[in-house]
Amino acid sequence: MGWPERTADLNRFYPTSVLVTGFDILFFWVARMVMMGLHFVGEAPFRQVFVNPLIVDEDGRKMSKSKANVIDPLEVKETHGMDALRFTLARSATKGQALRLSIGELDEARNFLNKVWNMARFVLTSTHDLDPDAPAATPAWEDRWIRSRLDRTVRRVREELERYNFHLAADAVYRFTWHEFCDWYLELAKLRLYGDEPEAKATCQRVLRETLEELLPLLHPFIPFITEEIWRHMGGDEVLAYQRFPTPSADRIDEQAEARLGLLQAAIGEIRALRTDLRVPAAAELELIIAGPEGQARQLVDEFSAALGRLAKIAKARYQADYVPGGATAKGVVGELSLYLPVEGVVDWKEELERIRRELSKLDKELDSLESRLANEHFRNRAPEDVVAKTEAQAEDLRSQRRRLVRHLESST
Amino acid sequence: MDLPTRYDPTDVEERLWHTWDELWRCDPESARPAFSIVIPPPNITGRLHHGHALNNTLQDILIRYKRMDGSEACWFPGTDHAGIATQNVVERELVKEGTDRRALGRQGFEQRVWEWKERYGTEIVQQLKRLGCSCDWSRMRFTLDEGLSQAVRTAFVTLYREGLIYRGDYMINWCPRCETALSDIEVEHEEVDGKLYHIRYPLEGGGHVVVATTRPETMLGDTGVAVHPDDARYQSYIGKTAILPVLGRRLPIVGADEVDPEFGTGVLKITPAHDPLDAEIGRRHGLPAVNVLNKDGTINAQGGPFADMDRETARRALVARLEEEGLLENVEPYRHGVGHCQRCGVAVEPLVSTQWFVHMKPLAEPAMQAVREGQVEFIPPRWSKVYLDWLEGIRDWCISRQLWWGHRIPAWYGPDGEVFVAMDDQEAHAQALEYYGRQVELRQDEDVWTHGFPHLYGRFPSWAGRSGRRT
Repeated sequence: MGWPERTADLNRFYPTSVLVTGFDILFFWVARMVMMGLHFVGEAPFRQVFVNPLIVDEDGRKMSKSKANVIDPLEVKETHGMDALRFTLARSATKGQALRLSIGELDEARNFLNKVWNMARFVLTSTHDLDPDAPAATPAWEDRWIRSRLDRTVRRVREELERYNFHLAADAVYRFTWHEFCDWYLELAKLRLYGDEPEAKATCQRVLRETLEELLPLLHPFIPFITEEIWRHMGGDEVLAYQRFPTPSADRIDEQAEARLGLLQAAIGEIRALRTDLRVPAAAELELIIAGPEGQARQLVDEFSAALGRLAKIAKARYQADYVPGGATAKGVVGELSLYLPVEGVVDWKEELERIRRELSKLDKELDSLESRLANEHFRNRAPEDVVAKTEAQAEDLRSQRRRLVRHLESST
Repeated sequence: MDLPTRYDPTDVEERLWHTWDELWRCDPESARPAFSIVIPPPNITGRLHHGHALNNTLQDILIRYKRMDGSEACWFPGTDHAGIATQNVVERELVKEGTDRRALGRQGFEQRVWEWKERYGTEIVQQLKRLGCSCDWSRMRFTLDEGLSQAVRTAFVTLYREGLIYRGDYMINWCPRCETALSDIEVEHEEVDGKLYHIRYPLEGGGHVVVATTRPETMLGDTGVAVHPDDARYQSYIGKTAILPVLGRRLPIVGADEVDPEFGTGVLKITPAHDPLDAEIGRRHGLPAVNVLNKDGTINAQGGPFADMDRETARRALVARLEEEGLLENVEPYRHGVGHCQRCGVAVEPLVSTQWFVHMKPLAEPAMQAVREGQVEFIPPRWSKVYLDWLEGIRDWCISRQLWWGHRIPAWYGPDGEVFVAMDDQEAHAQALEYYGRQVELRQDEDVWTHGFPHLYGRFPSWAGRSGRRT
């Protein structure tokens, strides 16, 4: 930077903001640099030292050539690409001492990149006829919801990066992109994009475009190549790397819309699970009867019947407070609401119940073995934290499956 | 413009990285808030591995984020000449070619290392660019660049004039393979299955004591024997004299609190030239230090009949001789820590040698204070304790290395050994002229030194403030 001369660089950039380093060279030069910096310049050479973890393989062993467990960046360049490597590393970079890395995670990152690419393709294709002057309709619940979720994601990414929680920042942007924007918003958007209301369509197109334009800079620091390439195709005359990083804005946070969409997601999730439990043919359209608090039920029935139709194959949804299910009816629960799906004539009810009984006993065995593992002190103390957490999540998953299966049997008696 | 159906990362990445080179230039005059990072410079020893990929990805995420968020974000790139590590890899290359550095001579060898540097330095930069690193490449530095060398020389001269650098005979870690001194942190301690030899030392006037050692060959350098002053078994021996087997050297028996009565037999042989604890005991009791090792780890002339043998051979020969003379009581398996050279893996020898050192206490104190007072913050915070503990126990740091690759020590010696530390040859001669009152021939120190600073913080070539911002 110019020392021993007081150059412009030294004045401006010394001390540096942060030193990012592995702990293996903590003494080698971190301590030395602090000592010498203080001695010669009168100030330590950096304000913060972020100590990044050491990469180990799936079994927690240090990677080394002799163990043949090395993930070589040169090879990854050919097989997955550098963005995939970057994203995998960022998403695994906790503040622990060891970072487990496996090819499986690189595959997952590659899938994510494909998701990003396809998402961008969809948005660009769906908005190429966007007319900026076209009259727009009132934003739909899902428009308000995605803006709110995006705003929260922007906040989260900024906060976590400021705290060097790279894994949480990467995970937040990953979950928003995949599990909110792609899984829900794009699917719901199709209702208006392919519908026959030009104003609703224009509104939806605008939200799609805005979200993409904000999501790309948010993703950029993690995966610069793919985002820059998409940006180039969008015809930006400046590079994405110099676009403003998104800033949060409180007026986009919309609790009401989040509650609405939360209800819709829960209902669709429950209906899909019921359909899977009872092996309802994918193409079969069902009737949905909702009982319980009227306000919530009406929200679903009145505002989201098209969404239920598209995403859960519900031909008709209605509210009936005093509904008493007849014989072959699947029952689900979302909060205080009861969801009923009559399946008479769609599935062989008796046979399904029989199968559910069998499945239940199988599931009980699995759950038993997981629970006894979790009850084992030795396992809890000795197994790596993430393995314990994974086992706990598995058990919880089985428990909720179990609750549903038991409910089917109960409702049939 | 429509996106192609399929995303092809290799195609996109290969196409883009080439076009990014000039984008990241920073302007120190800009009005934006500054955000800066200096890269931990990768060693030019080879290609980048997964650890570098992680370290540099995280830095790039921060730099890109801050740049987009309105900072003048400057990432200073560089590579490290990595003295001993690079010298070793190039030496290994030479072995493959059937030659060695001595055959090439210092200049020829340095030339070879520069060629290595050109090859791998370029490759490393290319790898960083391919990873997407948005460094300001116009500020690229190499730790042996002329500008940095100037800064490093200034640091040495300044520290010397302040009395913080000194030269002297002290115990250091010696690598007999690399034939250089090492600092404590370049030595890795590994547990090895060794043996504990119990050896009988006869006493003048009859009787004997038994000492226990894991390194019998070092007894050739023994100049005393020590017991704990409170150890009832041996108290009466203090003041008597033992006779060193084979060599017959007379060894005063002294009392020293450092002796652990529980270890071995409770009798310690004192080898001041080859053990830090022994050096301390020896110093207090006026026992001389007898160095028995040559630079390459063979036994020197002090070793009598074992001279010129390597360490292992000497050990076996000596043990056989002791057995013959009935002085080997017994040998038991013993697991203990042995220091190994971090670079070549050979067991290091502690020995007394003339080297350059830095006084650490006056430097370490402010460095600890900076962390305690929050001037420097560790994330995660648990590392600050590790850092403080280490600095707390720090010993003076041996900075000279008997290497050919690195920053040459700016010290010159007069015919009588007088030392002149100066920025260059000319200044050294001027000092010598003043000192001797006449022109004398000076010899520059052959060794190089390792440094922590200014590292990449040193001088950059002059450049005009330019913005690299694409508009």
